[in-house]
Amino acid sequence: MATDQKAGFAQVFPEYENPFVGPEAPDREMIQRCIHCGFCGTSCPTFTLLGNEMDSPRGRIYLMRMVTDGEMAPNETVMKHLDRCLDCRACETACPSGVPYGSLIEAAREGLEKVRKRPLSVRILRRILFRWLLPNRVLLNLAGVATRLYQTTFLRSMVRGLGLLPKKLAELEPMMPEAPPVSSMRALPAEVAAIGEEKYRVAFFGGCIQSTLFGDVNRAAIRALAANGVRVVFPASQTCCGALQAHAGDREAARILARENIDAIDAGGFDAVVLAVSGCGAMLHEYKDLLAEDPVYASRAEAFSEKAMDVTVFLSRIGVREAAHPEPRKIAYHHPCHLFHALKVRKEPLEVLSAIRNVESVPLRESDWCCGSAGSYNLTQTEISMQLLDRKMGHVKDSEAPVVCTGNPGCQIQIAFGARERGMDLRVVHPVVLLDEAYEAEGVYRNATLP
Amino acid sequence: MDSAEFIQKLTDAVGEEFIHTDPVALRTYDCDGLTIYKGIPSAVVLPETTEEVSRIVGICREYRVPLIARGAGTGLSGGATPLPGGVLIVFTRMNKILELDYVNRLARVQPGVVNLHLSRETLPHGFHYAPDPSSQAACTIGGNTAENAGGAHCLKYGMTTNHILEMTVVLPTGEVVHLGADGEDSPGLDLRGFFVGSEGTFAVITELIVRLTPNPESVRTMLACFAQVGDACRTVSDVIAAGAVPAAMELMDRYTIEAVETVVQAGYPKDAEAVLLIELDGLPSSIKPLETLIRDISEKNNCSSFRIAQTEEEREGLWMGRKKAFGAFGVIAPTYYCLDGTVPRSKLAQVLEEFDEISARYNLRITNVFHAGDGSLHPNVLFDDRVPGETERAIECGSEVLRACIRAGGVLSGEHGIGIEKIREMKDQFDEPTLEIMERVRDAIDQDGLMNPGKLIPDEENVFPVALGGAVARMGGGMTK
Repeated sequence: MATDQKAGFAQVFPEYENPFVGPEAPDREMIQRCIHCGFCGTSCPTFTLLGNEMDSPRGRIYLMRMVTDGEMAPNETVMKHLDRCLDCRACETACPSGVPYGSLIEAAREGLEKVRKRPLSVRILRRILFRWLLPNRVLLNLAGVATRLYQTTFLRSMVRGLGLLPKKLAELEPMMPEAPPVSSMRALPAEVAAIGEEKYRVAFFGGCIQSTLFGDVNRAAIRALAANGVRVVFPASQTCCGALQAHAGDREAARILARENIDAIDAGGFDAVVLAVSGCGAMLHEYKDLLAEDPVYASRAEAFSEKAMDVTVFLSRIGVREAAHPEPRKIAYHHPCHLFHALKVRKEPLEVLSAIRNVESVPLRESDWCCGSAGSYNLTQTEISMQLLDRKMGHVKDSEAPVVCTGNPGCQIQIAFGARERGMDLRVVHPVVLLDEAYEAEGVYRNATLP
Repeated sequence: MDSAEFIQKLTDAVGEEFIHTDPVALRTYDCDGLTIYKGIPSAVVLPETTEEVSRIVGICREYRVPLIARGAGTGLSGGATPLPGGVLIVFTRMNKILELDYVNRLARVQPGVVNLHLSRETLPHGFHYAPDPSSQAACTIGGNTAENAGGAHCLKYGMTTNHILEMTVVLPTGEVVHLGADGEDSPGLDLRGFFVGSEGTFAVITELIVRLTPNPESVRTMLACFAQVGDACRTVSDVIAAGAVPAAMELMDRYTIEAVETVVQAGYPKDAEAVLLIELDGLPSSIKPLETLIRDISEKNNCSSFRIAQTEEEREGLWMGRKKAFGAFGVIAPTYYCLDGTVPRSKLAQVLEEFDEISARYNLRITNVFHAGDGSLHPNVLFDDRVPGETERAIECGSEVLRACIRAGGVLSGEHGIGIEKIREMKDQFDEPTLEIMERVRDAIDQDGLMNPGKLIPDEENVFPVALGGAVARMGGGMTK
């Protein structure tokens, strides 16, 4: 079948190799599942913004099908519209036929990388970022420290004042997240005992960017878990999850990292593999698909994926301990796409928030819409990303909440940037951090040894 | 014709960003929700105002290029499928709600407004837009008007035409006219009624004033299960004969239950041959006696169980099964073809038996999920398009199903429209003089024959060939209205 396709393709488009063949290509059977009903359209942020069929999930699946069947060359127009996809997977929520759109678009992106002509500099940059920087804690922390230095000294005002950056970079520079103090980047302790009776034992997954920029969130999660009778183990040899790589078409890098993580964390020995970063969470759940063809790792990946769990899901399952927050606040909850649409985690973060007395959750319009961060989308498709952010910030403003809660570092960075740009006094925070503050204020942590 | 000049003029009319002529882009517009017929347009334009639409229509007329309007492209009869080489006018940018007037209970909207988005805006104010096609989360009010769409709650509240008060349209000449009025009645010929459901063969809609309906005071949703489909059908006609008008009354057969339960677990019993999903709305005091009446009638017709949703969540679950039914067919068959013939309620049981006979003869499974209350059927022919000859067999099977509806005193289409899909059977439905008067009316309005040619009224010149093999995966896919 695959060879027939390839032959047919070569006849029509001799200058192209069909990128969608082989076991890693978009699954033709799953493409077939799309019945072209168009229900996904209104759920899709890019279709809503642009109004083009090619920028809708249905249109993109159509493009994938035609390239797969050899009816269309994978030319620049095809790439443009597939590149514009946020991979937010809102269409999967809307789809009545259960089309696994996320795995289709990621397989398509991996395939397109084979025929894409990228400038050498970009290819080198991608390789450095995906294969070298993200999986390396030391280098990543160094980058974090450098960012911190840049942001807290005269450097930033000098660079900005003198206009030292080229145009595109100057545009992206303000989007850089505010790096935390170096102390926040320190390694997590190998093991933290439960406070009181130990009821559960979990492995903690830190995440790469999360550990550098949001180490405090990880520590808050670990403390909150301990307060709920959970012993938390941090297997030190774990690495980056591979999500950014997979979304950007480098699934091979993601597979390498997946194997490393499966080796590092003996998932079977724990009640769960818990994490406080939803983008990575979705990736860990997908290890089973990513390594489905791997003779050695397939079954281990499946077992690993089953154990992976967002911290809010774990806490809500075991019955989260209540506490009162010291500062009564209204909060608006923004659903990270991969938590809401990919993992279908919808109620649990709100259940955790409702365990915090004094915190009142107010409605946020389109709270399940992408904020435009979407991995590295804000860097590669800045214009669309900024339009989505604008829409999001409008709704945040209308909600009148001074705090936005969300469980993904990408969303936190993006929304915090949106607030800075608009001069809004807004706190953007992971739900578990509010829970941690409540426990702290109530004295739950007294006499405990915690990170 | 100088096509470069033509495209340049269109570009000048809408702006470079809002015209597509790239072959890749054009391919994605080659069909709507019905994928069996395809046509690649010569250009796709996305206008923003009535004036732009008028200019586009004028240019198409000047160069004698057919034009086709498209909302969300969710239609199931091929209404928005372009005649090859035609210009497709897409309304995704004309999606603004222009005015909400709760005192006079009306809304002024652009045609690209998504059906459900209007209700979402008005619900907190105590109103909604009543016609609710199953595709309401995606389909547009302009498309609904062109097709005179129905929906589950149209049993009580009426079809789209009952909710369109005034429409602004661009005539084939490029002239802009307003039909109807924003009140209950308008003097002169009822051209509004005439244009609703004309499937884009008269004019292009660019603005609408629609009726807003007060939200019901309360709602009760129930599920009656039966061991015989005939018993369920008799329950439907008995309920209506007893004088009750539920807000909705939906029937799903065994195959549908199987598919739905596999995908969404709506809580329908898997051993039932048919379930009726019934919704009542109104004042609680008026609902109670109706509820008793319906329960009694169901029991008289041997219903095996009767359940009333106790919570909003349970109610949503029951509806979820119905709304996702069509998508769920993907689980029990590779391909299906959804029809929408309508028969008198009293003939439901008889017609369903006839479908069984047709199904056996063609050796293709036919499933049923439909608006039973108004006899609006949705028989679905399940087949595998990868088996040579099976697509053609499914089309023939579908055609026979439609003719069975007509023989029972019914009509070809309850709500999806004729489009390309049922154009062949128009000759079974109407006699020569009736078809001729329709044709004469159309020709009087569209003198050059440029408005959505090949749709609705049989037309020997513009016949869409069936697109077989290759990229064609499914036909009549998606949810029904």
